[in-house]
Amino acid sequence: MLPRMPTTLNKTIAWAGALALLVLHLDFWRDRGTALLMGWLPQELAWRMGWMLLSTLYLVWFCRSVWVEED
Amino acid sequence: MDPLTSFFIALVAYVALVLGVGVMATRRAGSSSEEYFLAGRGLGTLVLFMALFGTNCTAFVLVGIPGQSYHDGLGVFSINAPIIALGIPLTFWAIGSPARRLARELGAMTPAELYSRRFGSRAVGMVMFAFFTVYTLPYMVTAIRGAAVTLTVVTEGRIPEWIGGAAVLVVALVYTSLGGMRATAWTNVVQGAIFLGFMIAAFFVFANGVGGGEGIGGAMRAVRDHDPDLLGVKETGLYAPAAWTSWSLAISLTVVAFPHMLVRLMAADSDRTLKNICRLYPVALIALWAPAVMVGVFGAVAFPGLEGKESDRIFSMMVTEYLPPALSALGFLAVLAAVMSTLDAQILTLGSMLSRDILRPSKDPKGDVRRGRAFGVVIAVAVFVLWRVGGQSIFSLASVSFSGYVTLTPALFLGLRWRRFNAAGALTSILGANAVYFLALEAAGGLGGAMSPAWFGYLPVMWGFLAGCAGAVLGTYLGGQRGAGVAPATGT
Repeated sequence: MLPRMPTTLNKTIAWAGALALLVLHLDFWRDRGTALLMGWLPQELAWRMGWMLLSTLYLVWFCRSVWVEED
Repeated sequence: MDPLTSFFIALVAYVALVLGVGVMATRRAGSSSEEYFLAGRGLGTLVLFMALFGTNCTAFVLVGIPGQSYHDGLGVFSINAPIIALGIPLTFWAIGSPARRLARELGAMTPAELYSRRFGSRAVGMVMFAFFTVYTLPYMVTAIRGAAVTLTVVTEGRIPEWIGGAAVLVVALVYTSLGGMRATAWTNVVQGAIFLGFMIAAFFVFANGVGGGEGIGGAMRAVRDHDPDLLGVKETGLYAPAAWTSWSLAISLTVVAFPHMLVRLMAADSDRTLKNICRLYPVALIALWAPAVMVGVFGAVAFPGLEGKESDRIFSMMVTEYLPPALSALGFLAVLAAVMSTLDAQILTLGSMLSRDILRPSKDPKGDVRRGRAFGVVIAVAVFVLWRVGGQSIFSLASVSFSGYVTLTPALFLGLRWRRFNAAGALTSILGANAVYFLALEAAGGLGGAMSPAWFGYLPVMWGFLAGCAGAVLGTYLGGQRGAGVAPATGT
């Protein structure tokens, strides 16, 4: 049986998602402050952790909807 | 028990453990070359994940990153960890997955052999072999030096550097020769668990120590009171926009071009396994990188005033200051584990490439394995000699290597994803990329300039990569249909 190929919509979402994550990583437009959120979490670390959470969700979706298993 | 005795006991236990795991893995293995070099192409999720993660994470993450964070603060996390958490899994999909399938189809066991067969061109394989080797040897020398220095420092000079380095090479060589890929993969499970577990535990202990018993919150406030800039990102040097963009490209693409990583991806039992690994990778990177960076940031509060490369000692200083002897011994073992988990893969991969890419594959099924073992010894001796006679110049080559691997990625990717891509395109891409890369290095200040801007603020790696892409297209269209070889399947 031939593997199920990703739809054009999913391919488009994959490209758009990767591009959006890249723009959010190249974040020279952002105020990279040094404040502590809730008194213990550095703002910079919180931003990066949030980004990593987003990219993890993206990868989980990517593996399910775009990556075709060809075994 | 004094710290030195604790360390010796832990060291003996560690060596016995990795040798034991190596021997056990050997008992499960067959004797074919496919079994020796690729674990029978049958590694599942857990073992392959730890093998990849252990190979990917060198002692630099445990020692060099805290040293850099000591000066640059959280910016070290910002510029590295997020982009590799996305980039590395995507390269596993883009290059690793089709490489695994095509290698199985063509019976290839090394990356250079794969591309040589794909293009029907021995020249492509030889050129790839040359660059893989040139870029990997300095890496191995740096790793050996790190392990040797650690052993000498911890044993207060009782183990001289040359003996320590030789001993690490011999232990890695023994279990690698015994069981090949399967032995290195299983020992990487142990080694990865040691250094990952240690870093997570140490993070909480160090935070409590620096924070005066108030945990992470107390430690963060202590950092803010000491130097708030450590909680932000610098705006100059590597953190300026063009350099940041170049570095993002380098660090996210380079890993899949390590031959010792790519060959492990070729050992996966299925695409499903690779998918599972891609889901796990970001979580593991956070678990390792966040503590590694915070060790350096907390260290800046605990031991202010270190200058330049002195900060590379901050990991050892924090371990000695805040951990009891038994746990501090584990800290130094974590460094050794990180070194060896990369070194074994490099010995195996370079040995297999010498065996199958330089010599022609043997008709005797056990002939390749014998040659692979012999070449493993040759590689280990070469690394030892380079370390002892190469001097400081070898260490500056390591940063050249790190970015240099990226010059191979256009050919690695297009060779698997573009049917028309041919041998001329691959050769033009690789040679052109490296020519431009070294010109850019020269413009950036020579071999020490891999992380300095070359032209328009961009690092040499960016120019090498762009030249590789251009060379691939030009070479392919100007080279006609010769050397198109076996067209790969280009699904997703």
